[in-house]
Parts: sequence; C-alpha cells; structure tokens
Amino acid sequence: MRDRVPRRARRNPRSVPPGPSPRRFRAATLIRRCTSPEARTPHLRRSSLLFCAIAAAYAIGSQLSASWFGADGQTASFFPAAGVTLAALILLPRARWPVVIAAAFFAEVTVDLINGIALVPSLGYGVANTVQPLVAAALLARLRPALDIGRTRDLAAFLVAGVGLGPLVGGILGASTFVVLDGGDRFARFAGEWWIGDGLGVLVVGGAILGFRSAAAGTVTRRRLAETAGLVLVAGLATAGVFWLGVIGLAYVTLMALLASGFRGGTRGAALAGAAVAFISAQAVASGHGYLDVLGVSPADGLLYVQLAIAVFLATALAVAAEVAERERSAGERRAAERFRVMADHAPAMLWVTDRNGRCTYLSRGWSDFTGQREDRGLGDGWLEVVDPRDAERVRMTHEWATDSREPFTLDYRLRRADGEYRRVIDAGRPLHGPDGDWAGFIGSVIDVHERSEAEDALRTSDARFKALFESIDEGYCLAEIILDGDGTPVDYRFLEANHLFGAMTGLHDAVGRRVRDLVPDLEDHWVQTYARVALDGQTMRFENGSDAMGRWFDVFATPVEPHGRFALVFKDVTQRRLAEIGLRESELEQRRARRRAELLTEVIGELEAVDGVAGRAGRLAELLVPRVADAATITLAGPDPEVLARAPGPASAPEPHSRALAALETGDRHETLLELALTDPERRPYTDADRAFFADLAARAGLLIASARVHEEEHRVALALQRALLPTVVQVDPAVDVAARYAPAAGTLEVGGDWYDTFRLPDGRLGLAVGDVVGHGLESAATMGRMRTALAALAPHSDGPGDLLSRLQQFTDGPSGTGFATACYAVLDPATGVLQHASAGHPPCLVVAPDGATRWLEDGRSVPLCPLGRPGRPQATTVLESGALLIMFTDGLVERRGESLAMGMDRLEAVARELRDAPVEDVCDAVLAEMVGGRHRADDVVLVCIRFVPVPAAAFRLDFPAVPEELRHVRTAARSWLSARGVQEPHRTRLLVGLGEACSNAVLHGHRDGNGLVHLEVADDGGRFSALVSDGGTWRTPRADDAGGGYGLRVMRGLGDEVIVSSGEDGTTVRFKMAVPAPTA
Amino acid sequence: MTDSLASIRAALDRDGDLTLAITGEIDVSNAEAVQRECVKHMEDARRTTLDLGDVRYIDSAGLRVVVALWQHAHAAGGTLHVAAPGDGFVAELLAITGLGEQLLGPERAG
Repeated sequence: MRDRVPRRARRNPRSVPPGPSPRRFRAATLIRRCTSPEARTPHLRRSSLLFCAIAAAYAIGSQLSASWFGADGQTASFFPAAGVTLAALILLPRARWPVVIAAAFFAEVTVDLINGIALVPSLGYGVANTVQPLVAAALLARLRPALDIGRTRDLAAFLVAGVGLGPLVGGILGASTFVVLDGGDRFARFAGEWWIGDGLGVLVVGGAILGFRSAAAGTVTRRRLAETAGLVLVAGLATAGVFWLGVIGLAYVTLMALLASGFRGGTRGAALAGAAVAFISAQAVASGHGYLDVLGVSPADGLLYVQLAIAVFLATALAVAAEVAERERSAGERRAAERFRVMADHAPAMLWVTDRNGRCTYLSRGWSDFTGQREDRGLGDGWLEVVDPRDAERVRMTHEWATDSREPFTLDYRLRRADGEYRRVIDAGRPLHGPDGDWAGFIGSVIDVHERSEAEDALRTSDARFKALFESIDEGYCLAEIILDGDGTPVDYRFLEANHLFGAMTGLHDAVGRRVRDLVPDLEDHWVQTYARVALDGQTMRFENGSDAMGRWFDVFATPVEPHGRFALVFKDVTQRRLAEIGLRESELEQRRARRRAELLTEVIGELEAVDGVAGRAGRLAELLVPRVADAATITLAGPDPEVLARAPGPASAPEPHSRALAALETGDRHETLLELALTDPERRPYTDADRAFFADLAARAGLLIASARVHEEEHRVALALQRALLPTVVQVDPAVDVAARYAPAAGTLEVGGDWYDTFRLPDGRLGLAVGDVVGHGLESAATMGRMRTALAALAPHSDGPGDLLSRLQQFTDGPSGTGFATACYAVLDPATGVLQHASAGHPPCLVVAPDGATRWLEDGRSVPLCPLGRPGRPQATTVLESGALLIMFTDGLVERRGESLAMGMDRLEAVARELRDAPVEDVCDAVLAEMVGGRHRADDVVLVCIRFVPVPAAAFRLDFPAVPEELRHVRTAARSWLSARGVQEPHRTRLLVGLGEACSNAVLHGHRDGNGLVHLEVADDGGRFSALVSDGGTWRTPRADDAGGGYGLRVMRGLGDEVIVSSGEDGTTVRFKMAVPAPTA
Repeated sequence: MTDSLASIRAALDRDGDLTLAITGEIDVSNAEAVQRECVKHMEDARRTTLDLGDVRYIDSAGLRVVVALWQHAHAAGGTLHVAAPGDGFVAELLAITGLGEQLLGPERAG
C-alpha cells in the first residue's frame, strides 16, 4: 500500500483527518505574528503582510489539494498552491522574491509537518516547491519581461516555462525527496504526477491571477461582464453534469463554454472558466463522482486524463483569448495609424517617421508639398537630397547619432523648397515606441522658420528664448465633439482623446470625457463658435489665437472628423514666440528712443552720485543734457532773487531757441529749482509731450540727488566739526612713550565716519590706548563715536583688563536708530616694563615693529564686533614691547583699498612701517598716511595712532597727576622707570625718588586741600645733575609744633639734595630740588 | 598686612622678642595703615626689632610712623630699635633727620 500512497496523501495521513479548525487557527496565529508591532518600518510591515498573504494562500491551496486527494489515495493531484507562488514571483519585483520564497517554503513545511510528514522530507518538499517557481519565474523574466498572457508570445512562454518546465524541475526534486528521504519508490510515476498536478495548478491559478492584470483584458463593460459570468456558469454546470450525472456528452458543452469565454471574456474570462472547471472536476473526482468506471480505466489514470484534458482545454481557451485580443489591438493600432496619417497629411508641418535602422519610412504630404520631392523618393535616405549640401553631412550624422542613442534631438538646417530656394527649418525628432513598448524608431516634424528667422536671429542669441522656441514645436493633439443646446446652437465641446502634450500645453489635465466649459468656465465664446464651424460645416482651419482665460496663445490646426460633430485639433503653444514677436514688432524708432532715454537716465543718476555738493551736481546735470536732449540747459533757483546754479554750454549768449521745456527739480529747497531746456538748432525736432514727460521724470530723479547733496553738505559740516571736537589732542601721557595720532576724513565725499582714538593714563600708571570705528556715517555715527570714547575712558580704570572693558563697552554702541555696531581695539601698556595687554572687538589687529625691523600682528585677544546684544567675556592677550618698538593702531580705512584684499593692505602697511621704524612717531604717522592712502580717493575715514615705547626717555621727565595720595606710588613708578633708563643706580635712584617724593607728597597733601587739581612734576637730567620742579596750587606747608617728629620732609630734602628752593605765591607753591648723582660705574 | 604697597611679617619668640619685617613702600597714602598694623603686633612684645632692610621706599611720612612706634614701645615699657643696613638709604634718612642714634639697634649703631 505504501507505494500507492501518493505524496500528497503522505502529507495528510488518514490518521489525521483534515479539519477547518486547526487550519484557521494556524492562519490566525500566523497573521497575528506577522502584524505584530515588531514590524516597525513601513518596508518591514509591507514585507510582513506580503509574507502572511502568500503563506496563507499557499497553505490554503496546498491543504485544499490534500483534502481532495489525500483522503482516498488518488494520484496526480491538482495543486493550486504552485500557481500562487509563480504568479506572485511574476507580479512582484525581484527584491520581493526572497519574501515570496520564504513564505512558500514556510507554508509548505508547516502543512507537511501538520500532515504528519517527518521534518527532513518536509524540508525537501519545501525546497522542491520553491525551486520550481523560482526556475520558471527567472526564465520568464529573462524571456519576456513584463509578461502579459494576453499576448500570444507571452502566453506561449508562460505555458512552456511556467506550466511545463517549472513543474518538471519541481517533480524531479520532489520525487528525489520522496525516494531518498521519504522512503518511497517509483520515481518516474511520482515525478510525472507532480508535474501534471502542479502544471495544472500553475495554469489554473497562475493563469487566473495573471489574466486579471493582462492589458488585453480591456475595458470591462457591464455586458461583457454578464456574458463572461454566464459562460463561466455554463462551463461549471456542464462540468458538474459530466461528473455527477455521468453525461459525458456535456464535456463538449464545457469545451465550447471555455472557448467562448476565451473569445468574449478575454484572458480573464478564459482563466475564470478554466478555474471553475478545474476546481469542480477536482472536487468531483475527489468525492468519487467519476465517469472513470464508465470509460473502464483505473481511477488514477482517469484522473490523470481528466486533468490533462482540462489543461489542454484551458491552454487553448487562453490562446484564443490572446489571439483575439491581439487582433483587436492591431486593428486599433491600424485605426490610430490611419487617423495619424490623415492628420499628418493635413497638418501644415512636415512629419516623418524612421525605423529602427534610421531609415525613413514615412513622409507626410506636407513634405512633398514643401520640397516638391515625392514621398517614395524621400524614403530611406532619399530625403537628404533636398537638404542643403552644406548641412547634409551634419544632419546625417545627427540622425545616426540619434538612432544609436535613441535620444530626442533637434536640428536646424536649410531645406530646398520646390522653387529651389533654401529655407531655414527646424527638425525635431522624438523616439517612437511600438505597442509592446519597444523602441521603434523616430517620429519628427520639420518646421519652416525662414520667415521668422530675421526676428528670431535676435531671439536665438538668447539661449532661454531659443529653448522656448524649440519646446514650442512639439504639437498637442486632441479629439473633441461639439455639444449643441436644445435649439441646435453650439454651446460647448467635450474632449474625447488627448495626447500627453495636450495637458502640458493647455494646462488642462484629465480633460478626456469632460466639457471645456467645465474646465475653463470663462472660456471665450469664439473658440466654441470656431470649432463648431469646423465640426459642423466641415471646414478645415488654421489660425493663431489667444485665450485670455487660459493665458496662452495657440497656433491651431482644426479639422473635422467623422462622425459629424467631431473635430480634431493639432496645436502648439506659441505664447513664448508670440510674446517675442510682439516685442519685436515695436517700432524700431520708438525702441531706440526709449533705450536712449533709459540710458540717459541711468547715466544722469550714476554721474550725479559721483559728484558732491549741490553746485557740483547741478553743473554736472546741465553738462549731461547738452547736447543730447537740448542745445542749452539752465538750472535756476527761483525766488525773489533768482540764482543760476548751473548753465550749459556756459554763459555764452545763444541764439533765440525755437523750442523750450521746463521741469521742476525736487530739491526740497524753500524755493523751486527749475531746469530749463532749449533747442536753438532749427534742424532739431521741437519737444513733444512725450519729451516733456520724460524731462519731468528726469528732473524729479535728478532733483532728489541734488536735494540729498544739500542735506549731506549740511550734515557733513556738522558731523566733521563734531568729530574733530570729539577726538582728543594727543598729550604726552607718559615719558616712556611717544604718541602721535592722525585723523583723515574720507577724501572727496561728504560723509564723516565714526572713526576715533584715545590715549590716556590709568591710575596705576599704565597707559590706555584705543582706536575704534563706529559703523555708519554722518551725524549719528559721530555721536555714537563720542559716546563710546567717553564710556571707554570712564570705564577703563574700573575694568579687569582690555577684554573686560570691551565687554562693558558694547552697550554704548546702540545708536538712536537701534542698530549700533562698532569695532574697537583697546590696549594697556605698562610703561615700566613694556607689557602690553590688548583686546580687539572685530577691529583690525595692531602692528608691532621691533627696533630690529621684525614685525608682528597682534592677532590674539580678538572677538566679535561690539553690538548691544554682544556677549560678555571677551578675551585679551598679552605681549611685551621691546625697548624702542613701534606700536601702530589704526582703523580699516588705512588698509582697505578697492580691488585689493585686506591682507594685501596689511602687507603694505607692514612694509612701510618697517622702513619707517626709526623715524619719530609724528613723521611715521605722516609717512604711513601718505604711503597708504595719500593721493588716492579715500573711500573711508582713517585713524592712525603710532606709539613708540621708549624706556630710554629724553633728558626731561614731565608728569601731571591728580593731587591724591594714592597717585604718589604711580608717580614713583614712572619716575623710577625713567631714572633707571637714565642709568641712575641704587642707592642714588631711591635717594632721588625720596627727594622727589617728599616734594610731591607735600604738594598732594597741602597744595590742593580740596582734593582735585593737578600736580605738575618736571625732572631734568643734565649729565647726572638732576633738577626737579614740583608745582601746585597751594602754599607750602610749614612745620607745625603739634606735629610730633614733624618737619622731616624738608629736612629729608635738604639732607639729600644739593639745593632746595620753596617759593610760595598766590598761584601756588613751587619746589625746586637739585641733586647730583655720581656717574654710573661702567 | 597685605597692602599693595607694603607688607609686614611679624615673628614673636618666647622671650617676648618681636621682629617686624616691613617690605615694599611706605608713603603718606599707607603710613597710617602700616602704623596701625604694627601696633597690633607689638601688644605682647617686650623688645621689638623693626627690620627696614627690605623697604624699597620710605619718606618722612614713614619716618613719622617709626617714631610713633618707638614712642609706643617705650610707653609700654618695652624697647624698639630699627634694623637697617648701615650703607642703605634708610640709615641715611635716619641720620639726616637725627633719629639714627635713638632708633638704630646697637649692632648697627656704629
């Protein structure tokens, strides 16, 4: 018995009867697992759903087969699951194949295991059932990509590879598994049964699935649907009749119904009917209702025959369906081709078609009409004969290239007209695709552009317009029918067909089946009336017209087509060309005049902006207008005492003018400023209204520029005065430094910048050095500059260093307009040591030139420019100035030059400063300014501060300091440093300091009792003989009795010094102190 | 004392011998503060040595402080003398003002 048990039966032994409940349970589990939230990404979710669907379908198909054939030991089981797998593989992209294969494998193995087959053979059957569809699908994908069983060639491929070859491979693998792993025998029989059962499964189920998506299925009408349903019913009933009633004759009815469904229902109908027949007969045979005993064959053989017969019937029906569909299609194509030919022959354009080899296979009548060449002569390569020989080679090459690359192309060349004249044409080719989607050659159109070429030569220079022209030669096409109202009056039209360019050109999408009035409610009526004449009166029309409702221009060719009331349109969007033409049609003279005026206006504005001052601008305006628009021009400030601001061509008396024009300059002055133009040359055309309108415009614009010059002049005067007043006069703040500064306003402009500098001594004896630049010009920036300078000097003693000071300073940058923005550089120099702390907020770095000529930029300690919202915590850096080093601080105007990078300007400054390093700072300032910005049009203000650190000071030491005790230590620091520099050594240096200190101390304590005022200290070194002078505004304090141990001061001075003179007067007290110091021992 | 100008180090041994070493500068701006600070240290001292050897600058205001401290020490029954290098400017100043004999310590008095 074992050898009689077929493989499907083995999967479903009798001991485990099939039941719906476990199946359903399994499927539910499967689906739950697959749709769990673990499927996070959409991709994963799609894959999971696909897996579930295919596994479920496969399991149902497989279990169906098992339930039919497993129970009573029939052979050659109809196996629908095979069709599921193959159809899925064909329909899905290759990337999804692993999911399909996994699903099928999983379902097969699961069903096998459920049906009591051991694990190893189950895996074997799983492999066989997945390799089988894989082989078939891979083969089909290679043979017929985009398989459509509605096409005969594709159907044949499907039958050979899908129905024949695939299941054969599966059968061999399955039988091997059966014999080797599952302990079975009769390899050939098992393989054959597998082959037929699976082949039928593929044919019925796969065919049905593929049939439903066939393009040949066509549009489904209700009638077709009813017809198909009827035929499927008849086929099914007849089949049932054969088996249950035993009326074998009914098999013919089944056959006829199958074929008829192929005819009428297409691929879908045939596939449906076939499926019905196959499932019913399988069910019948499985349930023992056979006619097999009638025929006298064994049940197993009988089933084989039945299934073979069904397969053949079904294949035939499908073939019929495919053949019918193909014929319908080719008839449709023929009709379309014919319509195209009619259209093409009537269209004004010359159309052509080439085949895959690039040979011309069609030329429209337009070609023959134009060139005089008969179509049959032009076919192949003959058309090249009428191409200008100068262009022929290029044209031929382009066509060859296009045929190789299958790319669209556009050509322009000269084409011989029937009268022998060569005309310029544009030839555009587009790839042509056959009904199967394969490339079939090119279709193209030739347009005579000679007429337009003159105008378009201008357009051609503009690439964009040239492209627009080319794009306009693709033609739109549509078929429409006129709609009449109850009275027979045309009121609308409906689109029946449209090509892909229709939407692009008209902007009307999905137009087919809709009325134009739905699509363009406010469409002009003349379109409907025009097309009604075409459609109803049989006129063919060619016209160019615009639709405001659509905002486009069209070149339209309209022709009536059958049946009555329909018309076809071939048209192109010529909006671009039309616009270009309208522009070109403008009178040449008008254009030239307009251009001249525009140029004059531009020139006037440009020229006036380059000149400063009211008088300058007025004068320039008059010069510009003569002789171009006038022989004489006068600009007058009206009022009780008229003042001539400018006159051209000068004061020379001119002949009496024959035409005048007067225009007001809007200068904003109390009195009107008038521009008077006059023509004296009798040859010149008198002024027209258009001229006067232009002069009014010109005068208004020029007036604004003159007005702004007036405002600027005023503002400039004030701002410059303010700026000068705000900048300090440099004082020698410390004997250890020489300081010189320059402020140079921008040359040749009325603007005043916000550049500033300041130098001051801090209470600790160090020196504050600052330069800055307030962005902007004029009064506001000058005011901001003043505020910043004051703030900096006020905050400097209370800050922790340059970085901190700049952080505090940013709040002062906010000008009245609230858009303050400034750069600044601040440095603190210790005159005793040369230690320089510095910080820069967006300001160009300072330059240090060492005495040996080495230069360095102080690039560290930099931060963003100052603005009100800037952050605190700006960095600072420290460097030490060598004795004799030159420190140069400046604003960007010094190193900025048009057409030169900042780096180049800084390089120049570096070179100039290196050369000048030994010169006095005043000379350095002058020379640097001259070298850097001298003799040039300075675009910006320049501030330059040069500081030389000189710890070897001049023979004199001068210092003015506030009369407070805390100042004394700083005075000593400065004096000590000076004395050291003079070479005074200990203990003489301290002795001298004590002597000076006593004098200063007394001046502080008693010279200024109110605590404010300055003490003046002056020390001179005359070859080691030091003489000091300390003066204050008070009287010398004489020793008092109650001062215990008092009077030491004067005693100390007298004891240390060689001479002490105290002179007290109304203006204060002066102490002279002399002391000789022995020459330093070398 | 930590003044930016002058600083004082005090060392008192078991016998009540106090050494006050002043470094930095003493002028009219910090004289009072220096004096106050020294007086504070001298409370428990019997013999005080005021070391001015490392003073960088001292003027008449400073000398007045020294005199005041001497008076303070003696009023409390103690002694005070100044230690300063004989060739230094402090010694010179004391000599000029006639305070040297009174203030300088015995070891430097010569």
